[in-house]
Amino acid sequence: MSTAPANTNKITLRTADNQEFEVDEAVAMEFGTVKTFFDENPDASDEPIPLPNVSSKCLSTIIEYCKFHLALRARDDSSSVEDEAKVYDEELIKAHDNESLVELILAANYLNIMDMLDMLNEGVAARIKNKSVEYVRKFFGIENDYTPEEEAEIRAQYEWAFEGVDPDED
Amino acid sequence: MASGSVESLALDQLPTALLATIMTKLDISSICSMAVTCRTFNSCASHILSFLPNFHILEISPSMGLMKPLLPPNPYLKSLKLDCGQLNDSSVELLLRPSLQELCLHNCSDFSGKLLSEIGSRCKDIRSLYLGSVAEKRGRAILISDLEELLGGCTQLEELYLMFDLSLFLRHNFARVWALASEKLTSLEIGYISSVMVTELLSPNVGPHLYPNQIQPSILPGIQKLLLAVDYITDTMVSTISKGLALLTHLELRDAPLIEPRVTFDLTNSGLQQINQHGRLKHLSLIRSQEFLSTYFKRVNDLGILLMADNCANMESICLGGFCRVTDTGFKTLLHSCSSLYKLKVCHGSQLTDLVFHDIAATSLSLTHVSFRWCNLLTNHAIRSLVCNTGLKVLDLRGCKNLGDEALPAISSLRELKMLQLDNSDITDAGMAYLRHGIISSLISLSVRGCKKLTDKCISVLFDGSSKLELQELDLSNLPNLSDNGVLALAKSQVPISELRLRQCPLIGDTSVMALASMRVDDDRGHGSSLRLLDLYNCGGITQLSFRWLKKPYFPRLRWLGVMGSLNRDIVDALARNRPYLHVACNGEELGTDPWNNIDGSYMHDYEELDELEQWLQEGEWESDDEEMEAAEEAEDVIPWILLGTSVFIIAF
Repeated sequence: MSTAPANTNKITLRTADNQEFEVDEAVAMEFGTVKTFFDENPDASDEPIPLPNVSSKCLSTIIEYCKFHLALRARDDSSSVEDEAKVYDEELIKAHDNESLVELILAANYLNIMDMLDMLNEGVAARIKNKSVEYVRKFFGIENDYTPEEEAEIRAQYEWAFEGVDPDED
Repeated sequence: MASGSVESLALDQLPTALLATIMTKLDISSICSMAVTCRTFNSCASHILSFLPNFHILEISPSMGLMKPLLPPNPYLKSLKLDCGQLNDSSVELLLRPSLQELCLHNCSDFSGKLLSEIGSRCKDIRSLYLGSVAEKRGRAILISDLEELLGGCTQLEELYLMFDLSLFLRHNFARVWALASEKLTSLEIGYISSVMVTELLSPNVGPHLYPNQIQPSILPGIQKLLLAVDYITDTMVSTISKGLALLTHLELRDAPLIEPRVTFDLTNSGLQQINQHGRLKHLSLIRSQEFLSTYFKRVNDLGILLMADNCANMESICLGGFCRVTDTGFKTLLHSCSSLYKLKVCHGSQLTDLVFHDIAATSLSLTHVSFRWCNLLTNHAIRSLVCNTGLKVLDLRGCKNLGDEALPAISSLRELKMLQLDNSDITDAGMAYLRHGIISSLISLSVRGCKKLTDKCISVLFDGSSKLELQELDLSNLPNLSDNGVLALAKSQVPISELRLRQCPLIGDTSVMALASMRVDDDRGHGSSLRLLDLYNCGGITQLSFRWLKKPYFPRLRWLGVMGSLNRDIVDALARNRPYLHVACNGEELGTDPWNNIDGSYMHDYEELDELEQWLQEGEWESDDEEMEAAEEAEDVIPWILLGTSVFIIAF
């Protein structure tokens, strides 16, 4: 018989590097994939749920994020809640370098956490906004697959766009 | 920061869908920039163009050729902002989409009024509309029917900014047309209109062509925010606005008289008394601009302010420009009556003294934006009292000649300060040292234009490269003792400024340009000057040599450049060809400034004009004689409007 699990239930998650994290039910339900899993398997036992695509480092950051935002939402004090959320999110982005941000995005995408994914995407977008072509290539590890003629043509076409480009910083 | 050792992730690790999502959060120029990186991104970019919600290009004037491939059919396009300097009526089809909710078109001088009627018929869902300089080119015209179709067609309109001259329409049609405006309209700004038209528009009256007993429905009933630039701010207009607009929370009026206003065409104490009749007003701005004539609100004195303050206890922001007869009593009343006040701006407060701030600490005010321009009687004492408002973010003290080094320690205690303007004050290098110990690390904008005692030393004192600075805008114009050494010190300190103004500095020359061009913001990079705006107008030592350093690849971010026009024209043209998207100003105009910030065009005039006013004050020529007014009337009727290129005709009454 499927009953909604009680609020104080703990759910265990196992990461790719075999670390186990115990989290509150409410937090785990923020993860779209976990929620779907429980919706489909209401009788799931207390065995840890494997997350082969997520590292422990990412998972701990993600759990912190979900905990924080859950608590904030429960407070229901709309104006300062928004500001606090914004500050937290900004700090989170600042604290991670490009590579770990991309890792987080992949994790959030896999776990299907829409809010966090959106916020991370904004963060990455802010980092590549107005940067030079070379910088973006480096950021995503892209190979330039244009022929020299093609590249010259497309550069000329979009010349206006990177006239005012930031000097690379990082 | 992971510099050389960033492990690049293979592109296929990030699914294309995710990449596309990230790209959609970028502005159009970043998207185009990314398209150049590889083929995958190029096709991503083309795909995104068909569902991109925001399309903003304001830094350059794109041509039709550039725009066409960037604006394919896109049913999701909600916001379009563009500099239309190179576009005209033929672009209407491309730009105006039915899905648009926000439309902002600057520099539309080559369009005709057809733009308005087309918006009315094609963009029915629009909520916010900004149109700048429509039909200002010779031979273009706006018809009243165009305005009619715009107002009638856009039934969802909430914000409307018509930044051009509306005074040329025939008056009797005007009110009828505005009756068609959407009921949802809450915000209205007009670039120029005559006060008579405003008064007639908002007066409830019986139309000649309707039944005599029928009262016209009120015009623009929902307006909360009204911003107008008029010929004269008059009592009649102010009281009509205050009576007619019951929901008004935000009122900004600016005038620029061409001749001395007569008593029936001016703001007096009784006009001020009428303000805020419905009690909702939170923001008020009344400014008399010195653009054409040195003229002030001479018929308003402390009584008017006292009467106004009675009604305005809930005010949050007050800007008064040109109230030269208001004394400390008036200003103090404002500070003590309006307990929610956070923004106070006074321009040409020639009788404002330190006493206004004497007991400001006793009020519970927490001012964040304070501006006292051309308030000559303010001294350092005032500033020391003022800084009890520790939350100050903007402090504008331009033209307060009596402020000096002693005010700077107090200013330096303001930890939240982002913008500081000390133009034309008496500060010296020693005073600037105080800033370094306090606020320089949080300041975003600093101006010491015209502080003639400053020398190169102040640069090395302020910017010693020790702390990471947030400074983006720096104005060092009109400093006769600033030389290339100062600019060299600035460049060496690697402050990441994006706007630098060095106007009219006689000792600045080619060496400064070279230093700035090779300024590195980060040690690893090449010519990494971060400047977007550089104003070198009338700098004594600039020669053709500088232009070699202004070409690409130096100053990669430069969008605005001010130079002396008298330099060899060919050189300037060659630069313009090398950098087609650079705005070059040769005639001394200010670069990239917000026009409302430059309210009295004072940057265009010589500073000597101020002394004329002082002289006048001392001679006690205060009484406004009626004889004087008549004499002015007999003067020329027609005065050409030189600066803006349109004609304004004054009809003798």
